[in-house]
Amino acid sequence: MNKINEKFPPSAQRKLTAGLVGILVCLLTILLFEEKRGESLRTFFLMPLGSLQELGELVAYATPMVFVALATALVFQCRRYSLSMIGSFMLSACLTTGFLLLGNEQPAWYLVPSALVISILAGAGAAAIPAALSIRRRVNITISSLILDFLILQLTSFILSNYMWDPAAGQSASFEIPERLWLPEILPALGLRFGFLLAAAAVVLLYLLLYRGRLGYEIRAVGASESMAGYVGLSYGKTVMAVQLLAGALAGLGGAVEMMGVQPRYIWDGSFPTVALLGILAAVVAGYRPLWIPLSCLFFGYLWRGGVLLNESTGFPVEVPLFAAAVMVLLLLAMRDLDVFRAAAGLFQKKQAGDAPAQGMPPAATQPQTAPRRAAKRPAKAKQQKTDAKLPADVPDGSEGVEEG
Amino acid sequence: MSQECLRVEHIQKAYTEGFVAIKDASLTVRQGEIHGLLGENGAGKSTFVKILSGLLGRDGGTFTLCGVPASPSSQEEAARLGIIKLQKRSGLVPSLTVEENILLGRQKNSLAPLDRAQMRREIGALLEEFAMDPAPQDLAKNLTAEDALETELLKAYYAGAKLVILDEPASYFTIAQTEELFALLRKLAAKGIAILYVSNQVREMLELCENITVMEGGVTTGEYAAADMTLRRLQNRMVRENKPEKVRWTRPQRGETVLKVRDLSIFRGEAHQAVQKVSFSVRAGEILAIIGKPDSGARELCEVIAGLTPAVAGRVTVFDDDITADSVRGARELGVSFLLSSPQRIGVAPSLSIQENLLPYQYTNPAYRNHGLLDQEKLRQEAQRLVQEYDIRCASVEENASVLSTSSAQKLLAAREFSNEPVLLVAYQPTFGTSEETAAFLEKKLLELRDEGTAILLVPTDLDEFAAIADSALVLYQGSITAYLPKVTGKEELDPYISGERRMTQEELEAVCFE
Repeated sequence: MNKINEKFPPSAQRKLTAGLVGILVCLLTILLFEEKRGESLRTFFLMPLGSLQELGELVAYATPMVFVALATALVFQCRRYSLSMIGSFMLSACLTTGFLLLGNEQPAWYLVPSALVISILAGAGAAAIPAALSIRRRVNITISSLILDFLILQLTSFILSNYMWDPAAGQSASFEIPERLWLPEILPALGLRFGFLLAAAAVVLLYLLLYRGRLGYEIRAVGASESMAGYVGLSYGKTVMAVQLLAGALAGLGGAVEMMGVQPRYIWDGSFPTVALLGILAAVVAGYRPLWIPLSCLFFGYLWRGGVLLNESTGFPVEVPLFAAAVMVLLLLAMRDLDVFRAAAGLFQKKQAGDAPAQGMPPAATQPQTAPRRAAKRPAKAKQQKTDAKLPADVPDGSEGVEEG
Repeated sequence: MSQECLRVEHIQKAYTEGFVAIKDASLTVRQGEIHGLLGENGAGKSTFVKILSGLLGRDGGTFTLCGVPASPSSQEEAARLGIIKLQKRSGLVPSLTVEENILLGRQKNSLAPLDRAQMRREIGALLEEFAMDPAPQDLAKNLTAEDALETELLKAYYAGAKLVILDEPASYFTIAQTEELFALLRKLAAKGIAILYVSNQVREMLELCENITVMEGGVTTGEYAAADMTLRRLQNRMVRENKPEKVRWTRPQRGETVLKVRDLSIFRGEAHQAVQKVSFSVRAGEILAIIGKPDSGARELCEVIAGLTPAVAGRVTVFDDDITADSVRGARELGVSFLLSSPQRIGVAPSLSIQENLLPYQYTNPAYRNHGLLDQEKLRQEAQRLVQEYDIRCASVEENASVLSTSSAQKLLAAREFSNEPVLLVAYQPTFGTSEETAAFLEKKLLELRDEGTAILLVPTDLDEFAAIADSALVLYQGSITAYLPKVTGKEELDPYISGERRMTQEELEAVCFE
């Protein structure tokens, strides 16, 4: 067991379990509610990977998500749990759309870069407000950023329905941004656009910034202990502001990438964009580590894309993969500090020793899914206490061991 | 002889990693007795009492409570059986009052009504009976560490505890606070409660306990009656080898004046004046100690010099650079280092690695960057060098700082603050909460630093430290200076100044204001 833990650390075990449960939820729903099961399963699970074109589409779906996830990772590593990336994303997407539609007569070489700059400014601007409130007035940044997100949602819905609404679109959506104003294609075979390069560069830069740069150290120090940071002379306010502005800019850029090639109509009338919410979930799954973010974004993109494709062919609800994603992240959070393999092994042994042989335990039934968790609690808890004495705090997310009085 | 309260024999405990923390530990505590558990840091005391309080399971041994075999498997169960262990950090709910905290957990289920009036009367009587400082309506977060601990003791008593375990409670207390705590413990023992007092301080043990069990390397080596033991003999029982060498004081080579404090006044909170018109100087190569009662204002004074809190009036200069209004960064840029101890240990971030905790100045120093990125190799080498030099016990510098013991965490702070060649070091209780060995080591380092020409402003952790390393001393009483001693002599002559009964003349006090 210890060998497995060495090769495959508990945190990875938890992620794998959560990922499998996410897939399982989708699988079960399809098996239960779809009529042509085989075909539906194929559409959902295989079609997104089926052709180069589809693969490119999947990557394109994941690209804006990566920006939001990176923003989340940055903010959460500093442990200022702001959710302003949603607002940054929406505001920048809306303003970029408006700008491109209004300036349609101008040449593309002027419009496209300007739109990117606008998106960065809009994103950073939206994030700056809760940040300033938290630094200056000590307002809880989570609450103020959520309120601001709500405000931006109302604002952008208003702009959409009054200035950008395309009556011919059928549903509530803006006019389509003309294709000449999209980001240039870099890999025509896959249909990948320049945004992909931007995202890749952002991942690498953020990694370097967080783990190999001075600012990254300051960010993590302020996140780990505000009092320690103050004690050694790091500026709390400056660091928090820098983090929020950078995160806002990233999320804003994500909004522009989304509008210029992925989803060329502004469609979020009164609802938060799925891609932004999935981005936050993806950051949680990646453990706020930039280098893992593309992978988790691709996974969520895959589930989501499968849902969309199945929806197009059979009317399957697109909400199901999103629901599965949320279940997955909640489960991952609930499994904090749990050593999944060991707990499962302990359970298995107990079952064998105790009642009837349960070897043919159906893996897909919902019942055993909750039962092992409850039964697994004991060994896992004992283990946790043992490690506590020597090595507490894996990566505590909210609680701090040391806090100022 | 009174009845046995707890008897445990041949307790064993191994951690999963194969490390045996407790090899063979036995202990008998009688009702109404204050029993000491003495041992060096790392002797296994904390693990042992965690087993006693149900926090950890045991691998072998017997456990009898009042003659009945017991086996608490959780802290809640142990508490039901009457064993209550007080945590090192306060277990009170900060936002509730003293009274509510004591009442907490008394109802059978959450919905059952409480006879609050009755309970209030009881608690009022209780507080009065034990002559406690805090009023029933005081919020727990406003209590001093000592009052909080006493409230917890009372809560345990009110909950009907048979055995109360205190794990190194007094390491953060001043002498006066410790005295008050001991008085309360004696009163509780007189009520028939058994008290297990865990510490590495031999002196405390002899003063407080009736019987002392010594623990060493996971084994209890014997039980001794305090009346039969002397300090020296008990110390020899506790430590096998490497007894810390006594720190040898040498004559200071004083240089030019580094720190000048003139007419400094500081407020504590809104209205209360912590420090009033204090003036003094510290010269290079000397250790100036500030001594006084815990509320003398020494801590506030140190915080203002460090830039952590603002002053109301007056001036602080380092080499004639005015730093009165500067932040921490400003003071640090001028070469001011500070080591301010507190129970919360504000200088260490437990979720950062040891390396990251050790090197904040290097991380922000361009010399440790390579093409704009941090030079990981150079940083690691520097961290390893410091870990070795200061004997910070850890498996690797990549580990989280939360694995460090109290002593090692303090050594980490010292390594960080001493190693960046400070011109001025403000050390507030630098050996606070550490073992004697660590304390001796840190005191030696302080003297070395002084001999290298650093000006040191010291608020000594205890009088031994004061006598061991201070060159000259100021006495602070309620925020103003009552004495200046160019040479440190005995403690007795300081007493009237510490208690504020006497005060030197203005001329005598101005002798410490060098230009």
